[in-house]
Amino acid sequence: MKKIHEDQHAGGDLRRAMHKALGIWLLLLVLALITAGSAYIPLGAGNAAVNVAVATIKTLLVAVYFMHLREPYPVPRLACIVALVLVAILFTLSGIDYATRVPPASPPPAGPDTPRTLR
Amino acid sequence: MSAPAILPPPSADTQRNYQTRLGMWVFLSTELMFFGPVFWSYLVARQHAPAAFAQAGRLTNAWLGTGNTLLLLTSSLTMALAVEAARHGVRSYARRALWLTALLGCVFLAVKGYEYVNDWHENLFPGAHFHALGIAGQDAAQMFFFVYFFATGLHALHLTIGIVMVAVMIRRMRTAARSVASREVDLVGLYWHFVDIVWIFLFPALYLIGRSS
Repeated sequence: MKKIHEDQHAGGDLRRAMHKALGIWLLLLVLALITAGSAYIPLGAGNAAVNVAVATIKTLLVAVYFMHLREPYPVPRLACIVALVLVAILFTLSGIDYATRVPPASPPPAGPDTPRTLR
Repeated sequence: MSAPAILPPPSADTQRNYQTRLGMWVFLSTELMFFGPVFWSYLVARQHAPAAFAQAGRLTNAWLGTGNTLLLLTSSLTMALAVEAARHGVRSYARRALWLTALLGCVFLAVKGYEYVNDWHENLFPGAHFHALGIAGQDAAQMFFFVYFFATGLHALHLTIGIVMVAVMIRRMRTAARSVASREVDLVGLYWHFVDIVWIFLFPALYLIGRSS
């Protein structure tokens, strides 16, 4: 900490950045406790929705502030968005396949060696 | 024709920082392709047997899972502080924050290891001896624990790599030039935060499922 005082200007900047990081951290902890607490309230499908929503907000906080996506460089943001879009395409295609696959008309004979499948 | 106002070209250091950060972002994108299908397999298996998944989820230790989540979020804070301190050239502070980050990562792994030992003794490790007490759908429960061990194991492997990188950075902070050290801490920070984000999604998926039913 002694070195911080040696350069007042840099020190002021650093202190501001650190206060911001502390604020984000507190928000993250509160959000984590909200997810954990909400899991014990019976909300049906709402439980999963709360979990996904809170996880998304936490991810945005970490990505934007801790991973510096806010900085004025668009290409890292682009790399991030392209990756998310590709995962979304992957999930959509797999989801369509999973949702529309028709089970065989007659199930294969069950035996001890028959591998179990999901569908 | 008047000459347009041209900004001075960025310094070689700024350019290098930008390039390395972009390289790390591209790497993290491929990591997302790696972890994405793990989450997908979880969703498919859960959709197939929601009741057994909820019951199996209750066999995980929510207290330890929540505690570990808070630990990892705190390690993200110390890592962010290390990055800021390194950017401002306050190396002693950056090194202390890195030490704390590595320590928090190690405590996380120790807690996870303790959970694994308990799971093993409760026969929850998938295999011939798997038996989840009080659950009708043993196959689906086993599928849950297969995903649980694979996902948390893969995450723990990434965290271990992160801890090694942080340890290397603690050494590098002594010797490397200020701009180089700052750039490298930045990269390790990006990786560390990514591993934290993976856990942010694993935590509710594996530890909080079925708690209210």
